[in-house]
Amino acid sequence: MLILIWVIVWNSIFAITTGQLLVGIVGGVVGLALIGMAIEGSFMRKLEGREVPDLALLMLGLIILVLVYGEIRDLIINDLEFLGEFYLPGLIALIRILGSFGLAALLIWETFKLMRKPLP
Amino acid sequence: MPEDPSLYLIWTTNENGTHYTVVSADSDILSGGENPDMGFLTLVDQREQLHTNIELARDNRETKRSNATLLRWGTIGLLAGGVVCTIASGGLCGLALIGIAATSFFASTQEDSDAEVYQNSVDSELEQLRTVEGDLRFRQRIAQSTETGG
Repeated sequence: MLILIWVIVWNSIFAITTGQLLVGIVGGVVGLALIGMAIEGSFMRKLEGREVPDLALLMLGLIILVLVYGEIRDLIINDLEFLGEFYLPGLIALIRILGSFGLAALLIWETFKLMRKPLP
Repeated sequence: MPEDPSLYLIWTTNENGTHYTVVSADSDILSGGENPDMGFLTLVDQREQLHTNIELARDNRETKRSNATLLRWGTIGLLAGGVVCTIASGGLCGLALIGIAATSFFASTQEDSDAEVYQNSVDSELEQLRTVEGDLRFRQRIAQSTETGG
């Protein structure tokens, strides 16, 4: 959850620095909602201990694929320097991309744990 | 030069610093002589235009990148909603959300493709900029060998 908040907050900052104010505000609101969920915690507790259907595992796999594929495409066109000057939005995007890879690694770990969970 | 309109001060910058040269207003270095496209003043205009074009293409690329990222996170949000919905109800709502997420994902790939098209423009114009800057330095080296230089 913390990594997810990290990624969304940096995505929001990136959008604002590149002039995408609306996208930045939407990202900020989603980030705040997640922070609220993390603090409150009851939502996550409701999911704990439930059997995870194969369809949900498939969707977790799709989330990982979308995340990794998208960030690799984004990384390819990212600049840290532009026309001889340091490019701040590029650094912000890089921080977000690194967070996304961390999130993907965590999701892979959690998905494998769920797959190996014995049926009740 | 303000004190003598018949003279121009031209300069280029490289890793060794800025190099200044004084040339006469009717010099072939400025006009390009028989090849006006290679005149110093024309090359300076081209450089300015390329800078403007590169910055515009970069801004367009960043807009497309932001849109693609937003749509991808929309896709991830829909899939995460599908996971929760499937676990909570075990129903077909997950399949419906996969369908909607696929639409959002394909829209994001379109934005990614557009961003890459703008990136190609940036790369191509950066290459042209390097060529123009090389021509400017070359013109100045000629000027230094024929006129008053420093």
